[in-house]
Amino acid sequence: MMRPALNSSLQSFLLGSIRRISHCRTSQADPSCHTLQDEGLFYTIPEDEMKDFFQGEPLWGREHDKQRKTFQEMSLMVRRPALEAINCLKQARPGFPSLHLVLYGRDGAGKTMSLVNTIHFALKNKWFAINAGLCSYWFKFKWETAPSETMEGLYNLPMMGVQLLAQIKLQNAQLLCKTLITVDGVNNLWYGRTQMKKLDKSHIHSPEFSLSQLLLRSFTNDWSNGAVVVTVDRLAGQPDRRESYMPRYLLGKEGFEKLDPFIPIHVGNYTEREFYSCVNYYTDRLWLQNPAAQTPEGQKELEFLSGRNPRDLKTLCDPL
Amino acid sequence: MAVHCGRAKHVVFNIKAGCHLPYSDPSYFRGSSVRKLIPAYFHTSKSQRQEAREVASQKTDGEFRVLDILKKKSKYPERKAVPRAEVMPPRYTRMSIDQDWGSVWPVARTFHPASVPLPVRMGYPLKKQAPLGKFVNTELMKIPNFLHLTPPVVKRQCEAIKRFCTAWPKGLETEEDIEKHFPLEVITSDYVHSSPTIRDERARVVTFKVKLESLKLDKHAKDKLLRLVGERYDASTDTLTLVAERCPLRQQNYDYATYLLTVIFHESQKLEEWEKEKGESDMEEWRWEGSKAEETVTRLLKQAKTCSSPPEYLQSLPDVTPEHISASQPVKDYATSLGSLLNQGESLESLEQYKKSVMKLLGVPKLSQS
Repeated sequence: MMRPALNSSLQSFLLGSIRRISHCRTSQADPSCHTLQDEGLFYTIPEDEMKDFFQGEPLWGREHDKQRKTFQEMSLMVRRPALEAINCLKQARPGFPSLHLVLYGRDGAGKTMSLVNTIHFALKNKWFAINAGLCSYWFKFKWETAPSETMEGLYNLPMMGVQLLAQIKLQNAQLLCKTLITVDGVNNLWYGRTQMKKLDKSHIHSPEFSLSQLLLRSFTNDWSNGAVVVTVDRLAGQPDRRESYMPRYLLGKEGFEKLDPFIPIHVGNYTEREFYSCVNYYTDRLWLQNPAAQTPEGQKELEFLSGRNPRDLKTLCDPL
Repeated sequence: MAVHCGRAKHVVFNIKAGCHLPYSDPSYFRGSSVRKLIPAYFHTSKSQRQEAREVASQKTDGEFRVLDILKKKSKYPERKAVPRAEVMPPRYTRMSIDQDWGSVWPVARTFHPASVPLPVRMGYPLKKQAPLGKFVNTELMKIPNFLHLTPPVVKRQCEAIKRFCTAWPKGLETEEDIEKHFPLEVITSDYVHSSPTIRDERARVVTFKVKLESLKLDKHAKDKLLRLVGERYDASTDTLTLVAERCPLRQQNYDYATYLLTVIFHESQKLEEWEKEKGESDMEEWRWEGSKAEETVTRLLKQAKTCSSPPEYLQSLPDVTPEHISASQPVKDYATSLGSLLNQGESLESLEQYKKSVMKLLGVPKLSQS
């Protein structure tokens, strides 16, 4: 009595999962060709491009780098924020002042990965890119500091400066046409007491570094044929400024005026389609192996527990 | 009838165990050796035997009664019952259903369980139990009650004081009428209580309430007045509240509050020399004119006009100056959306509006479907 029912449910489950898994990827690996039709699908950055563009310190977090190594590929989901950002970058033209894009959203919603998607587009289209990455990393630890010789009253971060220059050199080996400047967690550039100290033992604040000042200087609109893409991150900032994830709050008056007029791009949690695509991708990569996670009920539970937040979903799926 | 020895032993065992006798009549054992085995039973008085018989006759199922053969006397002498004062049953048991409640409970007083004919319960209940009843219930005594203000009593008292009232003035039927004809509200409180003194220092407090709208202030005067009064102004009701309580008498406080209101009003009308130094950070709200955003956008559009393919609306502009660009629709929209973002606070909606206006300003097309 039980056998045919079990078989049919197993069969439908297998068929369903195969159909859905084949649905979570797009073969189009060029981000400039992605459209809203590809929304929610994953594309893989080819190995050679990874080698050319994303060497050295990863632009994404350590956690995601671990996942990349485990999955043995760098796959990004085509999402609306990145599509919007790329759409704006395509408008950069000679003589036109630089565009400012600010990605904002809840913690773990995918701001950094949308930024990486945008950077991939720019590098692939032979832009000259300065990717500062997560700039809170510069100010988080006690690095070696030295008073700047050229800029009065400012401090240099020699190690970070060298790292950034090396990255620029590696990433921009090809021809250059337009300029892109990206900073992850840009709100930390204005506000933040670092652990590093001056000669009089007082703390150095993040705007007092020459590196921050150089980046801040690039946020003026007086240069053309390029764009500035930044993210504002609640957790990158100071612990006393974490009440909201909105750009005006995180940037403050000074930062907002510096970047204004900018195009704010909201990075929300996954849509339903994106959520199921991600679950299928995890199944495909054998990250989700629990049979319960393949059932509609299990997936509903994952959806409910994670609230469709990408980072929460990843954390939930880790032990499954 | 011969009694078997083994059977007698069985009986003894039963007595020792404190159980009733299977054979209540002692004559049953006469002439047998059993009498020697249980002398305590056979050398008893008549009354004791009678009692034993009674005990034995009280058959209860499953329960063995103890036969106390050697009655032990208590160490203590029996106490005499102390006559106690007779307690009357609670008053509510004698109340008729059509009584005059206003006479039972005429004024405010602490709850009294015997006078209230209601099954009131209050307090934290124990597990699986109802809340505590009304007797010896401190919770019920702590809270204020309104048992003296039942609707019939209120009605009766209103009827009684009606002859002292005057007719409601004509033309003051609605709240708006009252606000229009009497914009200033003066609030004082009188306190009556039974104590050696009839004075109460709280009676001196005088509160003035006035709607700012009725003062008919211009933009500058309103801004200055709001800065002067600080938190005494409630924006949600547009009401200014002044509380005077520093003088010992009510009249003095009333005069002082009147003085304050007059001074604030006239002071806000004045334009001092130093007020002209008001900068951007002193503004009550963000304004487009003279703002940093205006300067940035002017510079940006000036540069954009020189590029190979400027946005369409820029091509029709004769010159890029703050006056010219402020007249064009995209810049107007941008200024409005930025204003609402900065003045009303940011939200997803206001940011979306701002995004749309900036994209229009910079000539960036929307993301298309294909």
